[in-house]
Amino acid sequence: MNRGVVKFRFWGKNWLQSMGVALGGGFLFLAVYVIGSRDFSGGVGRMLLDSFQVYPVYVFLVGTFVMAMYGVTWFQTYYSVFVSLSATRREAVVGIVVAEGAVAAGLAGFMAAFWAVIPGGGKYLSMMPLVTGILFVVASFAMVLGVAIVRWKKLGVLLAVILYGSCGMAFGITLAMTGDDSGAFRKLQVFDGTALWPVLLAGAGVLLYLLSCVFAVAAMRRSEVRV
Amino acid sequence: MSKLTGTGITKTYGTNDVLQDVSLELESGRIYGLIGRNGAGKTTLLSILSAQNPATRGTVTLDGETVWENPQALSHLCFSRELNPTSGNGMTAMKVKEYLEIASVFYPHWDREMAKRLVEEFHLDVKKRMAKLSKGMLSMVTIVVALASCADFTFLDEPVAGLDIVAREKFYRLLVEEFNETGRTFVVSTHIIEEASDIFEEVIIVDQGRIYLKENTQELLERCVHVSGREEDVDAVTAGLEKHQEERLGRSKGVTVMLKPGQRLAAGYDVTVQRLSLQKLFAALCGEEERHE
Repeated sequence: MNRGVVKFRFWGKNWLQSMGVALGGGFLFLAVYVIGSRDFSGGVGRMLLDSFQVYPVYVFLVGTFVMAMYGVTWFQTYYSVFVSLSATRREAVVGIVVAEGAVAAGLAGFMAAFWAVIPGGGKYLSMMPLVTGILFVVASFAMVLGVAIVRWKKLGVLLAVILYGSCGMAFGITLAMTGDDSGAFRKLQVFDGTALWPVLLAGAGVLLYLLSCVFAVAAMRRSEVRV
Repeated sequence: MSKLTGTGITKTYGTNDVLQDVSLELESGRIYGLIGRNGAGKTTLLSILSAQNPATRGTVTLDGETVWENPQALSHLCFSRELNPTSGNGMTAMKVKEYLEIASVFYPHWDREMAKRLVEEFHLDVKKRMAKLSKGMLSMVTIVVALASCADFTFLDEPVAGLDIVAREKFYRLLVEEFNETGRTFVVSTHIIEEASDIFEEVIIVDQGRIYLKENTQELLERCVHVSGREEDVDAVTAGLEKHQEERLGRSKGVTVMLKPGQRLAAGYDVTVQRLSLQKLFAALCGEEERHE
């Protein structure tokens, strides 16, 4: 069998597994937190339709967690094994980062398609740039953490924790400094689809993802492998 | 005929020189035995020759092409390492089936049928997680990968570690069968020298990060003998020859002698001359330093 096809099948399985966990987990959360607490007086059909309009939000929440976990795990699980089985370092890293990017794209694609198809879902489509940006940012962070763990072991974990802690702190400080407008957070829920910043965030997310890919390839260029 | 060539390979971890300026040429169609004491640098050498780890200095080429990050060259190499389920990497969480599936992804000449046949022959449970396998079973997995990879140059690191005698015999048989059928090159690193020496066409001895010798096994054994007898007779017989591991017991003495081409033991003395096994010779060559300390 063609080597490309074999690789595609291997990563395809991993991709499907991640998507399955995100979609299944999202559905579970939807069932527990939304459907279970809805009012049935308008009819079951109406209630289900209303509930499923927010299903992609739960897929997004579970999906970001899944991506963060799988992104790190794939590096830990597969990188050394791939290289020890005669893959080039570039080949090993590219497989992982492309799969991670494909999960981010797959989740974004699913959410967009779901909202496009479900009645009344169109109003949520304006959130897609924001959602896409966040998914790719999470993918980037997961990849950098995965690389740090595999490449620099404990020191890598320490550096990654410091880096991510700093990012979280910077985000928190920014929120606190701009938090004088108490309604700002609530305003986010009435999402302004015409605003430019979600589009910029989407662009920044994709850019960050690409930079992480370059970082991953460069960092693993002369890595030691032990199995 | 392919050639895998390592030139001036040095590997340093911190201040520890694991390999020092090693140069080595491996030709296709041979079974090499790689032997050396623990920590001599065997695994490090194999991992660098197969581009699994970078050398601090030096190059590795396959027919003149650099091996490092070269998928074309790597497709001809397989280093089936000794697996360590406690190493903390993700391999431990994998099932045997998944590990073999990944091997099939990266070895372009992977023989699925052979892998399946070997799994059955070794009674491996492919649904088991690697972490749950015994040391012997992990060795079986590395053997399956090595043989089914069909790589032109295949390195096996301690392939029989943990295997019982039946499984070890099976491995030697499979290796020789595969070699006879395909003419692939195998480099087998092992501490069980006595058993494996019969299949080594050439032996490479690594000692303290250097290649001590690389020679045809038969020729090496023919020029190495153990001479024993009264001390003065032994000294007279072996005068001017390369001697290793001298032992004394009262007025008796024993010594291992390596004859160079054209050299002979002096005749006319009452000494016992015995041929050495590869294991005995290795112990004499690499064990003497410790004895002198």
